[in-house]
Amino acid sequence: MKLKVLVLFLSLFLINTVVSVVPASGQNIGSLSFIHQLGDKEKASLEDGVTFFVLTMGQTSSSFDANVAALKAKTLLNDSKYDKNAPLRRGLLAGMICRYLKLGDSLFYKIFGTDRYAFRACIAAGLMDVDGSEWDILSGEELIEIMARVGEYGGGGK
Amino acid sequence: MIAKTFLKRKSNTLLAILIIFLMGAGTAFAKIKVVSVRGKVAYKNGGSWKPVRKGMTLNAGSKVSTGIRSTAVLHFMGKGNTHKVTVKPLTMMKIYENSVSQDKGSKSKYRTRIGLRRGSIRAKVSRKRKVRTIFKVSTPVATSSVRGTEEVVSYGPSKGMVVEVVEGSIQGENKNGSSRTIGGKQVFHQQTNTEEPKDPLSKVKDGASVSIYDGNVTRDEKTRLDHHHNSGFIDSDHGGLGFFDHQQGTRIKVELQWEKK
Repeated sequence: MKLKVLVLFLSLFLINTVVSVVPASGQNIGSLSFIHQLGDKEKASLEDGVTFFVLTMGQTSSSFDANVAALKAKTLLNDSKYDKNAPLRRGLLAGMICRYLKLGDSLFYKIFGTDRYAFRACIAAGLMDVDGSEWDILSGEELIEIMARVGEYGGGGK
Repeated sequence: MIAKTFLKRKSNTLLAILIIFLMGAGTAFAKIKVVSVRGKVAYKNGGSWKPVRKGMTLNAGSKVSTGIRSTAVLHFMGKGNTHKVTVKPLTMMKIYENSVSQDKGSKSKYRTRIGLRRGSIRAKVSRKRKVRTIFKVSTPVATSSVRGTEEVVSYGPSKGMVVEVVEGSIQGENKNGSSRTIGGKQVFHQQTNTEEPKDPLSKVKDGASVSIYDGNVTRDEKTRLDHHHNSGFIDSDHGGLGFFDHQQGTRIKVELQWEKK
């Protein structure tokens, strides 16, 4: 009888140990793979920026053209043609951020709406640093850092 | 009959020893437990990335990564201490060490080391008197050692390493060996392209890191005083506007914290 209790106790303990290290099967970490690969890139591309923005908006990322269409529908991008392999510049990202977060602190951005003043507005909001210019090409890590600040500014993930 | 009784007693004893061992095992060794998960969080320990699940245990050597709008709360447990680490969105960190040891004839030691590649973590470090607690967070540019209880550490390639002291104090040291002890809700900031950490008093105004007001000053008056640098116009008791005189005596409480050597 006591042996049976002992065996039962040991079995329960082993099952508990195994279950605690078995990873969850339901959680999809697909977007995390994108972020991990992005972190290793010396230069982020326009496609990376567009994909990141679509994911930040809570939507599923699709092809580059579909993602651009989604951002145009939200007026985060204008009607220009975009090259997915072009390097992602700080100014273009700043423009998307200003329209996404509806930043209104920069008077010149309100008047002219250019990437130059969008960059200034992002600096004023603490989303980008004052060192650099709107023409700077962003690395993958820099893009992640900026989008983390955008997420925090927008109130997500506290 | 005697043999049966003997066997019965033996198995009872074995059962008792096993139960005591298993109950004690959890506190004798350090452990990292995932307390909550929100959104997409993954871990990796030498293999591929796998999803993190609430209730699972992580080992030293594991990397943890959070996605967009995703967070995880980890409990680092050892020697009766439980440190709470909140991993914020878009963060990647590595758990280098979480171990307990016993120095000869002196206190037990509980050591935790975390490497922050990017993002932000909030660490609430507990302290027991009989346990020497070492809690360090390293980034590519500097390391912070917690001396008090709570800090928020973040790192990014543009901003560098920023440590905000929520409660207690920390020592921040950069790769050149230059260090600062920071407390009182100040900030340790080591940028990627400078040799020295930023002056923690860089935001000091008028020679004071905090403004001191008379106890009867209202919130609106404080706002005006801050704006006009210790003087301003307020509605006086006699009607109309008057100059607020800040040159009055007031009682303040000063607490001196001596560093133990």
